Amino acid sequence: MNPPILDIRNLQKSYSDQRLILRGINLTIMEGQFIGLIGLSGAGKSTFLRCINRLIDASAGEILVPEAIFLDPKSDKIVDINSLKGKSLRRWRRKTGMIFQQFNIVKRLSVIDNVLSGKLGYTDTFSSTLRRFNNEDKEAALINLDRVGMLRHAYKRADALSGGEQQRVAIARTLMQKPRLILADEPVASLDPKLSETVLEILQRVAREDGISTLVSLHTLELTRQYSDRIIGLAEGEVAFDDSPDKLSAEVVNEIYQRYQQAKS
Amino acid sequence: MSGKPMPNKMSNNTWKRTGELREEVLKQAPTPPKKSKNKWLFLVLSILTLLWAFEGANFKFQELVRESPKILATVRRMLPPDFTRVRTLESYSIPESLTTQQLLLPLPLDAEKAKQKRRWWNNTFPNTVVGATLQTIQMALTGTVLALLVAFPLAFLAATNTSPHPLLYKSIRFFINLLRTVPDLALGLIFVSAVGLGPFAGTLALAVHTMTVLTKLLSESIENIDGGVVEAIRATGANYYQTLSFAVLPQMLPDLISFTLYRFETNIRAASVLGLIGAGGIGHLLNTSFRTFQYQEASTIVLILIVLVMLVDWCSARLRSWVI
Repeated sequence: MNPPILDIRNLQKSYSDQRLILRGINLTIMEGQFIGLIGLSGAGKSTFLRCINRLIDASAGEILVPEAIFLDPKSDKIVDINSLKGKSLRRWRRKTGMIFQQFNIVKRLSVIDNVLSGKLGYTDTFSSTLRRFNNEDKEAALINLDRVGMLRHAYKRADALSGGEQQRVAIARTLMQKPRLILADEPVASLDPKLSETVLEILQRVAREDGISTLVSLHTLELTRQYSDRIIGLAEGEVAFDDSPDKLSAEVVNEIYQRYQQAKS
Repeated sequence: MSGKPMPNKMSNNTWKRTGELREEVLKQAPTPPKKSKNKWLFLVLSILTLLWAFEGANFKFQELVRESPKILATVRRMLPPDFTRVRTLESYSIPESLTTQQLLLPLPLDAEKAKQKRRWWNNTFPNTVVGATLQTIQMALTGTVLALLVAFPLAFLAATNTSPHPLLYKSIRFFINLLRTVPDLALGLIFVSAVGLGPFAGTLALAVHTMTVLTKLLSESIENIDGGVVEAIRATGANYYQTLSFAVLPQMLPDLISFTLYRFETNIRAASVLGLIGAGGIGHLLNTSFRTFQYQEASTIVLILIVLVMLVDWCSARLRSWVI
């Protein structure tokens, strides 16, 4: 068994209205796993993913990560992500790729500039703010574009691409970060079924090639079963299911759904 | 959200509902919002306000009818425009000791001639129609660029989504809004009394006023950008400046160009008005022409202004479509 990359303990999040979005999540995620995250809208999937790379700050709980992954390869310490600040937080973020439902690539920049923006966490402020990168980075960007099958579009402006193509550029951008972990928040919810499969296949392939642990939230059970080696079901901010895809029976799915219904009425 | 489910929702998928079902739906339909009783009060108050405004502005329709022949007569006296002062060489009062080449090209000259040349360029030429027009453009361009240099960084601090601290954002907003209420003509009067007559005072007035307007417009443009892209760039581990460069700047760029060009146009007009208070620009000549009853000469200046503004409008439209 691989060592754990994330050890999440009693993670809680509430916004200003005091309602708990995450009500104490406990999970251990091993290196190299491809995990499907399911649950209805409002179950806390997006909040959960954003707590991991601290785009949102958790209210309580711990996210324990080996320091060797992102700070110092020789260190054997375990650190709580919630305690990170400034530079060390950005060091964690650059090792954590994120993919979004709305792709969130910069439409007025070229494809290659978008991919290069994945390198920002590694480059010095001055030259990268002026959007200048060295040849090594440019070559890496082209190679990553090739890995997602977008090499020939490298110098197009990003708004000339279709949705599926934009998401592939977003994956190439994430690969520039040399991530150890990818968080994908509904990456195919804005795409048609055929493109959804293409994008998920690419994501799964590059994750395997680079040994990246991946957390993907998905809204269709079919795709989740097809691609994940482990499925986590969230309902009302709690882990309602955590097992291999073949254990995800109709009753379990129903239960996640019903808990949601009951909480609502 | 909740409530009774609609009867036979699945089986009855036609929009025409009849009989009992129709009555049932109408019974369940929410009551339309009541129309306000204050409507009439509002109407009466609006009319009273308008009457008050017309009264205060001394606007009377019968007077407009009575005075309109005089207005027409003045306009007729302005036509056709008189271009003699633009055309004839005498009106440029070129010093006799200098040739045209010596005046226009950077040729080596002896001390006396150089002094004459400098005096002509600094004092004589700006008082000709062509010189004043060029000076108006120079003032507008300088004022706009200075304003942009200050407004660009300030806008990031004055936008809620990019400001490092809410207190900073609020204080800059407050200060800018306060300064923006001062009309550019009033700013011109202030700077004329501070630094004396001339285009320097006018340019300062344009720069300060434009800075306040551009800061407001640009900060609002920053607030309207797609936050998802900002989130994505932050998620790569980028710091503040990298995020501004990659996520914010590309999204605000079209607005940045449009607003700056638009303000340049506005400043051409404003620079010509500033001449009326002696702050440089073509307005000074316009004022003199009217005061000395040279109506045909005045219409020449108005015509030049119209062409100038149209030209700038056309150029900026081209530039905008080229960049965006």
